[in-house]
Amino acid sequence: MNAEAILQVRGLGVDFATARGRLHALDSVDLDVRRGSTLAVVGESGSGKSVLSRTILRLLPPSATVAAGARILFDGEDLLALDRAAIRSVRGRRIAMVFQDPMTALNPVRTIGSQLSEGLRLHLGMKAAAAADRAVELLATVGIASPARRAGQYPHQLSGGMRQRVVIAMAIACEPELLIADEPTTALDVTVQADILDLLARLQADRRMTMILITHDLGIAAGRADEIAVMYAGRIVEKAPTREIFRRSRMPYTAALLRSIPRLDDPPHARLSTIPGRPPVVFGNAQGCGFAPRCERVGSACTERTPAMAADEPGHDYRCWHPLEPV
Amino acid sequence: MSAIIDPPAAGADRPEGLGTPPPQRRFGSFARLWLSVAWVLLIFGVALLADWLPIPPPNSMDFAAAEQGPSKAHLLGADLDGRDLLSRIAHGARVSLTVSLVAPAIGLLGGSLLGLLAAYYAGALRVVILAVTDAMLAFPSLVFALGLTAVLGPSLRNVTIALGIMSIPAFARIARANALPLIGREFVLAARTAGASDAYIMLREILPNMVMALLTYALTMMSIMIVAEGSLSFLGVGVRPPTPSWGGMIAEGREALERVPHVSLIPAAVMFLTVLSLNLIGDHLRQRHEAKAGGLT
Amino acid sequence: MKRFISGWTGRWAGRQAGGLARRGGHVAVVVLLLAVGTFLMLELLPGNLADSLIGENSTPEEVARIEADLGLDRPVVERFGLWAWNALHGDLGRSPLTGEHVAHSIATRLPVSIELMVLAQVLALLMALPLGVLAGYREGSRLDSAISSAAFGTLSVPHFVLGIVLILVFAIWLGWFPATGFRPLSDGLGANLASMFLPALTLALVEAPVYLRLLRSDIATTLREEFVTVARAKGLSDFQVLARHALRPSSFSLITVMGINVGHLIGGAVIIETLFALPGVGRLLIESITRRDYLTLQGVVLFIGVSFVVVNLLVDALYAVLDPRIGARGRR
Repeated sequence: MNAEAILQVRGLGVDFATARGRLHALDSVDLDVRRGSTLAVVGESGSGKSVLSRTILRLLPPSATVAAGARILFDGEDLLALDRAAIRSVRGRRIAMVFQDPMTALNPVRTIGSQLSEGLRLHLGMKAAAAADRAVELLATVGIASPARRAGQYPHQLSGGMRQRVVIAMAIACEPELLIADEPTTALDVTVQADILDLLARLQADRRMTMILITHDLGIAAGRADEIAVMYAGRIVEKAPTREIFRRSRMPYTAALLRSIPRLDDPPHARLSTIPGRPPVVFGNAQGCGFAPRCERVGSACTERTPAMAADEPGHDYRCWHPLEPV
Repeated sequence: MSAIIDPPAAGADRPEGLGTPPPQRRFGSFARLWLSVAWVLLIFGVALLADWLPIPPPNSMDFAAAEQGPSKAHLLGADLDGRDLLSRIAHGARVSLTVSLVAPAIGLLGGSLLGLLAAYYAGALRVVILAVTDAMLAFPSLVFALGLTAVLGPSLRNVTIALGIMSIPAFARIARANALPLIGREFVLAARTAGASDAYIMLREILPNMVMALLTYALTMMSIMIVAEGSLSFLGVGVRPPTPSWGGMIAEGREALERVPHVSLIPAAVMFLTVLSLNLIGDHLRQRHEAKAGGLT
Repeated sequence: MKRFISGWTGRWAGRQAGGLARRGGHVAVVVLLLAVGTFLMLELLPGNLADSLIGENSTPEEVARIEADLGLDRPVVERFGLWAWNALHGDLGRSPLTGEHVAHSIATRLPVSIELMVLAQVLALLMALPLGVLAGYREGSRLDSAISSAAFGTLSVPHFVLGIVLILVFAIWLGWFPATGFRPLSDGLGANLASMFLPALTLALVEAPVYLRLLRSDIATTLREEFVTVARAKGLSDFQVLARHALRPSSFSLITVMGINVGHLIGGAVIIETLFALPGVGRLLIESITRRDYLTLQGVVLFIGVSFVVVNLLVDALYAVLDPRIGARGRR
């Protein structure tokens, strides 16, 4: 237990009731996030990373069930135990989220300014005029030119990159302590991606926010995160400071992910390394390591018993029966 | 034993938004469907066999039994003039069903033709057809039907024709909307390249693919027609007395609503159940058809 | 009859939203066709018009004089031109039966029909809005099934049957409202509203299920959009999300159909007015038919058609205000 941790997740499991049975989206997730740091949660589609981010803010649909003993401690308070009014006062105010697709994250029939002001008036009790002014300031902060004019416009009149800046502005409007960015650049052009990530980093430094960055791109995680948590099939399979992950990954899945990143200094026509098979969706009772069907180091224990989280160095956790040898 | 299975399609990672609990089985929807079909068949049967059923003739007045409720002599009671309600309902069913079958048929044939032509041929023909259908649709349909019947004179034949013509623009729109995407498809192009005439293409290639959508709509139209005919009869401009019609019977009973509501309510109930049944059947068919059409439209 | 309209309405509205000049021309064509069609109705009548006006016992001289009066001895095109020209100036002729100017007849009946329409729309919205939003919000639940089934059932009841049942229950058995008859405002607001309540409620019950289903479907779709999750993430309550974010984008189909209904109802609700004996435009229509007052009929039908077209133009303009995506680019 880290005394500086602003967010502590313990034993988090989430199930969904679907037509095909109970879908296990998250299983036994433990996390600590240090105040002011950036944690990257990396995983493929279906790994549960988005579910994780939404569970923190309790934005799950009614078909979802959270595991009985789970706790999400934010600054000491269990978010899962809060009543509805209390969690609403946390959302947007102390914890905020940046969403993936700026095309759909903004209400098409309301002006940018009104959507920005909404949070300000709700949480900070600002009057309409004051909120409108503040909204224009926020637009300037996130790097939008002619912010006063833009505030009166509608989302369809802005480019994708600008819209994502607006989404970010909405998120930081009430000065949250924790910012969750769920794939903030996935829907954007490559040229714009770096700008957005730089913006997020700058805002984080200026406001001393803690950030959880959700992404499927290890490259993004590399440059921007202090710690990386790798997820697979609803579980965290490795968690360590960034340098550790890249230099001394223990879990074969992490190593395979690293290998699959193409490198500039690869010889021409070098084969792209891929991981055979596809990530699973887990129904029913899943025992055993989720990665076993695709792992080259699989052994008999791997399909029978779920590996427990182990650590042979403080701060470096992994979940594997046959971890890679430390270099 | 691990229960990990194959992954679903991409996008499964994103959870849903507000509301939306898991889909639930629709209990009783089959029961409703079959009850509806049974009722419609019953009405059809009664209408067809009206003359041979052991009931008094529809226009014979039995003043002794006037305004009475259901009894042994009159199974559903009698109206203000002592005429047997069951018998009048059975004969009235003939009127309603004739209209509900023939009028949509007129609309279907006329509308499909116009819609097909408007989709296939561009230019003046399309403009004219669209302008005329727009103008016809600019009217509340009842006013249109009223006007036509006023001009032609009230009778079963004229009511049917008027309602049939009134439904042509709607069918035309649907036919055109369904034909347009088909016209661009390869099998039309192939037929044209092979030298098929326009008429052939329209009849043999395009029309069969539109049939399902048109028939589904026609079924919806049937219930609308029953209400329309009922409205016209209720207003006194539909079929002429003494031919019984459901709308006319409801109108007749109106003056005695206080004393003997059953005279209006019984035919009203029959009309309601018939319309409801047709609507349920139409709804069911529409859902089945939409589910099958899938990504076509 | 309103149900089949709501199906293709979206496409119709979309097409109307493109190009003011094109729309204006289109409207002019439609009105022209309406005028021609209405006028031709008179021509199609079997028998001599003058005969049907006076009766069978008239002498040929009387007939000839009536014909000359009405200008029936002039060629068709000329008569149409004259009629249309007068109509453009607001003169729809004078009924040979009642002696009243047709335009005046319509003008005196119009307020009744408009009051009926307004009251009915208000009642319909009061019923459909909360229930429709609730059903869409709780889509798939038992509450939704109950609401949707009730709407479906109400849809299937013919309007005059609805009216009769309401009269039976509220006027005859409970005695809360008068069964028929109209009390003008000069008799007092209370009396006026009491006489209008049952007719308005009947009409509202006809329209509310359609509105409800449209709203339900659109709300359910909108709630699946990402910006709704974003709004929740901002800390808004479910009610605030529904009211401020979900409602406006979900109201377009509803507004389209409401616009069509308003357009129709300006011409009076024929059945309701007949059933409840209200002196509205619809009653005028049916009376002119039964009295064979074809001149009045002509004028009323033209009025109904034109007002419908005009109202729909206004609804299109309203779209541009509500949906910022239309207007600038002319399409969604």
